[in-house]
Amino acid sequence: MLRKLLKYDLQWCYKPLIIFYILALFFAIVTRAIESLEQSLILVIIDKICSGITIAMLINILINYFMRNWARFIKNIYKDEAYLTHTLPVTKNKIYLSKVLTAIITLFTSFVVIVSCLAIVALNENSWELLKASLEDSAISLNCSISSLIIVLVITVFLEFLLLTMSGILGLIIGHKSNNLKIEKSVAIGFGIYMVLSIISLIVIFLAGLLNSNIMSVFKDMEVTSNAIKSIMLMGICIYTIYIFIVYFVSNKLLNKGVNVD
Amino acid sequence: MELVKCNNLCKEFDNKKVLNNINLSIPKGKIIGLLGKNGMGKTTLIKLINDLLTPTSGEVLINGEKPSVNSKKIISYLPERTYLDKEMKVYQILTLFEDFYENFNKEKAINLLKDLDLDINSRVNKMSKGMQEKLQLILVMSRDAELYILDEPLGGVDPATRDYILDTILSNFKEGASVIISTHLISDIERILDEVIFIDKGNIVLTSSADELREKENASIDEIFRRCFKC
Amino acid sequence: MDYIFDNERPIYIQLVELIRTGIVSGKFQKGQKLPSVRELALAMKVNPNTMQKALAELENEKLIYTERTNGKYVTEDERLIEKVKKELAGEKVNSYLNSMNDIGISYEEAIKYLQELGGKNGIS
Repeated sequence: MLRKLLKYDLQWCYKPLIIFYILALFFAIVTRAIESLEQSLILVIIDKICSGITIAMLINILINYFMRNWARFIKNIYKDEAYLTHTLPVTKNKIYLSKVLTAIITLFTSFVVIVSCLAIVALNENSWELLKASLEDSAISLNCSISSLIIVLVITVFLEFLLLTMSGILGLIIGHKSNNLKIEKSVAIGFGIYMVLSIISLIVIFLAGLLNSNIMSVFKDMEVTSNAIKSIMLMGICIYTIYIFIVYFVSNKLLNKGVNVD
Repeated sequence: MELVKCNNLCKEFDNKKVLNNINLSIPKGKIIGLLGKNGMGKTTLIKLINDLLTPTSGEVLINGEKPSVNSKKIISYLPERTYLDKEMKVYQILTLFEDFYENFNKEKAINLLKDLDLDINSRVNKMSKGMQEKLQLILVMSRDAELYILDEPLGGVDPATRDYILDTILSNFKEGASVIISTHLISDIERILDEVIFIDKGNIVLTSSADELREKENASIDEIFRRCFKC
Repeated sequence: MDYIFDNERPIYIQLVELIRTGIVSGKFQKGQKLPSVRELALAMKVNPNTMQKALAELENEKLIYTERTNGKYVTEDERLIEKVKKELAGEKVNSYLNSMNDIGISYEEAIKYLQELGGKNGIS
């Protein structure tokens, strides 16, 4: 059943996303192609326009990723379509899990497309060397390899986005617990949850700083040691993972208590 | 065991009682009219049976169990509103029903849609409101369910459509299943009812066999209902 | 078979009357197999349970009988059918005479009316 739920959730979320993926990739390739041609003023202008559109498409992908996932949740769980969703012979756990998995999968593909587009547009020998050099610098000072540095960076950002998505969903659930809460309030609650969690992570890092002078330097000095960044990033991943599980279980619990569809 | 049983069921919205201590049992193999004026709690009761609302107190049991995956397998529910994703095409919706409901009879649905001359390649949002309602009715009646719950299936439709709807219900519900039809348009459906339940201001005011009630009061159910709830 | 039911009387009684009339008029012939309950219910657009009740009532009157697995049949007892026909005829005549009486026409006059007008104005 989970697979079937996932099939319909993914279909719905990907519908506009795929279009933006294609557009973004198309304009990224056009931008790149124009750059490889001989330069003239008109081409430079077209190039600028194309790269501008590519950036706009990338932003569109991100916005649509969030909007599609949240909109799917609202429509499926609380609006007219909820009359079907909640009468399907499937547990609420599975319905919620399918939404979370959909968020993870769509976020992942969006990341892949965004990174690919940036690479297509910006990656040439010069910039690659530059990127490699700067990454190598930090990698050496952080005492780890380039690939692991990239992975840690991507994972952190990925978890951050996922947490934001799931906090938004939790906001919607809490917002609807009391029957007459409006969408705006739900959004505020979701954002509030996210902010509170962020503040808690800051506090946790600060507390960790009390034990670890390296980390404390983030709070005291402008200069940050590489060790501190490394510890903070690893801590961040741990904290985000814990948050995601907490938000997951709280949402699941609340949903399982039953819904009240208008 | 009763198919559906409500024990001291209450539902409040913002401290306003919408259902007040409902005790009710729905037997197997009957067509039951849930009759009441608008806003008297019919839909609330139906939504509680379908797990779309959670009781403030008391409980609903279906085959002795609270609403669950098991109850959803055997209940086929037609809500008042359109619950389909309007961007989908009819055949996609048929597949969706086939995917989730083991007892969905796709061929039956396709045949019923053919009778209506409905192209299964059309998109839901391109269809008229009336057609969307008929599509939903067909989806719901194409399941071999044990309980069909139809919320105001006759609301706001013309007399010809009313006949179509009643015919579709009668000729398609599974033998031995129960059907709950909620409505305020009593005269149109009373001839097919076994049992009637009168609901008013969140209370069950009467439950009876339809024919017994007619014999006792020497009047149509519609007439008796009007007498009961004179404004 | 479209039949408008009178909502003020139990539907099953009206069904009994309808089928009984069908039997005595020969629409359902003696010994004929009846359609299934569900088919009959669909044809008359009523609830199968109500149809079941009506058939049970007719079975009580012995106008139909059930062969264990084969379904329901119209009785083969001609004398019974005749008897029921007579009873029904008696009811109709009585109701005719009563309504004539209501408008001040005596028994003898009513019969005269029947002979004079019957077959002309009324049904042939």
